[in-house]
Amino acid sequence: MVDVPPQDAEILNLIGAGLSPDELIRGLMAMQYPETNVIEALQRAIEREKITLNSEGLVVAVSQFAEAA
Amino acid sequence: MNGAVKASQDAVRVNRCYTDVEDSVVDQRHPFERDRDRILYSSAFHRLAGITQIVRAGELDVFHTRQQHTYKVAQIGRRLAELRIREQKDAALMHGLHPEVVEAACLAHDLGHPPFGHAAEGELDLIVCDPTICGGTAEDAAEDGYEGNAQTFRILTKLAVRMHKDAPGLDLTRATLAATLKYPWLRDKSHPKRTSKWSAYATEEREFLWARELGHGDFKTAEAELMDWADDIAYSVHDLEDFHRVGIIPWRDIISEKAQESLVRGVIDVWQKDPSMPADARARMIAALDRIRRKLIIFPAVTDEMYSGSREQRRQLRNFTSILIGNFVRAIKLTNAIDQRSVTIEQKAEDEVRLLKYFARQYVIGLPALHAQQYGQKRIIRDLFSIFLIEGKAGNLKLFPTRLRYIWEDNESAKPARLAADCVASLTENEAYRLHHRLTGTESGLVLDPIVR
Repeated sequence: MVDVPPQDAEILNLIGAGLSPDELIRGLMAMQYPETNVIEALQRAIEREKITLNSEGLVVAVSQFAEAA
Repeated sequence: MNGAVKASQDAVRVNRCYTDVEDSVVDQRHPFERDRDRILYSSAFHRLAGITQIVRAGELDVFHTRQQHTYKVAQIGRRLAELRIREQKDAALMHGLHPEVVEAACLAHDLGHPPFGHAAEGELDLIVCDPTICGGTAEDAAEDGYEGNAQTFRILTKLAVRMHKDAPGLDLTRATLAATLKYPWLRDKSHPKRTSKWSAYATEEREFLWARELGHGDFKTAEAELMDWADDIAYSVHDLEDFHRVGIIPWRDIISEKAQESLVRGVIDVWQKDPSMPADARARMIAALDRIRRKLIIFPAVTDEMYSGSREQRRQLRNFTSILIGNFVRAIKLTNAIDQRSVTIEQKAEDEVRLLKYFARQYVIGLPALHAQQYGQKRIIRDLFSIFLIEGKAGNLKLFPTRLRYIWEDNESAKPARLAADCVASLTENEAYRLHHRLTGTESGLVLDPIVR
């Protein structure tokens, strides 16, 4: 089954070094993705350990998070 | 630390009070593994399945019992220890950190909770200090009252039954006993820090001093610190989950700017009772609330929907709590000194845990039905204490469930109020309700049913 977009790579591109969740959602919706798709994509990315929330509540890429730790 | 000193400390840590068979030919376990297993198999641990966490055990299957909470604390505690050992090998070695000790301390940490939770704890403290309230005399009093942590230590060192009565308690190692001491002091009502929380009664002072031989000042051991933080994490996340599932947590209020002032004021009102509350507490709580709100944004099924148990709600709740717990587990580090606090915890994590604990408590404690329940439960506690006290002093042990008689038979030198409290604290909530009915004549039950086994 094909994942609904946005895909992990698009999310990671937008996050950069870390982005607040509402900015991330707005950014993805600005790419014409419906909000429900965006939320689903974020849950998937968390479950696949592509993204997480750091202690400040910013969305960060897990790879960068692990390096910083 | 040189090798000889380390070896000597390790030897002291595995000492027991009553037995010294460490190289057993029949038991393959390490001493700390045996400690953990003894606690798990104790009847005091079994009792926790019938004890309230925040809501009465068995009221709704969705709520954690104290035993379920304890299993989760033990899981978190063990993972905390394992992570510290992986990431801070030298500091872990210096502190003697052992995951079995942390897990054992976590399994033990709530053994001393009486039936009906904190409501009963407060009531027992009052009447143990002043038994005249319940038909006793001033001479019956135990001046240091009742406290769940101190009762835990008393269970581990005196009340738990494992061997002959000259070797009471579970005969745990020094390290494990020290790890259970969240507040490593006896009660001292003249000392602000030692008035409301303490981890040993005067009756266990000898055992306490023995357990604390490697301790420094008022500092918990590293293992006790990890146990304490594991408990905080579990309480703040899992209890909140329970109340979220029954719709008690008003997430719309929590995430709204309008409710910020009342929420922050509520947390500060509770925090103010702690003499160490910092001057910037308010600013810290506002910042913590901002961070929690930010973390909730990508979980709208948690904040925007009444919980119905749908797959998506459960999924998002799991993702949210998993992230929270991961952040909190990474927030604690070992220090490199043994004569000061053995850990540091990121202030932001501590602040968020404080706030989450407040949510779980605040919205439940406000429920009118809970107040009514607690009113009745306090009456049960008083009635049972009074009966145990008066009849125990009179030697009328035939009235007592067989399982509780040894408390009076084996501890003749303890104050009667202490022994009466021991009996109450040994009951599950179901046992307390049914025994109360029987002893007050409201519902006798079946003559073949001892109620307390």
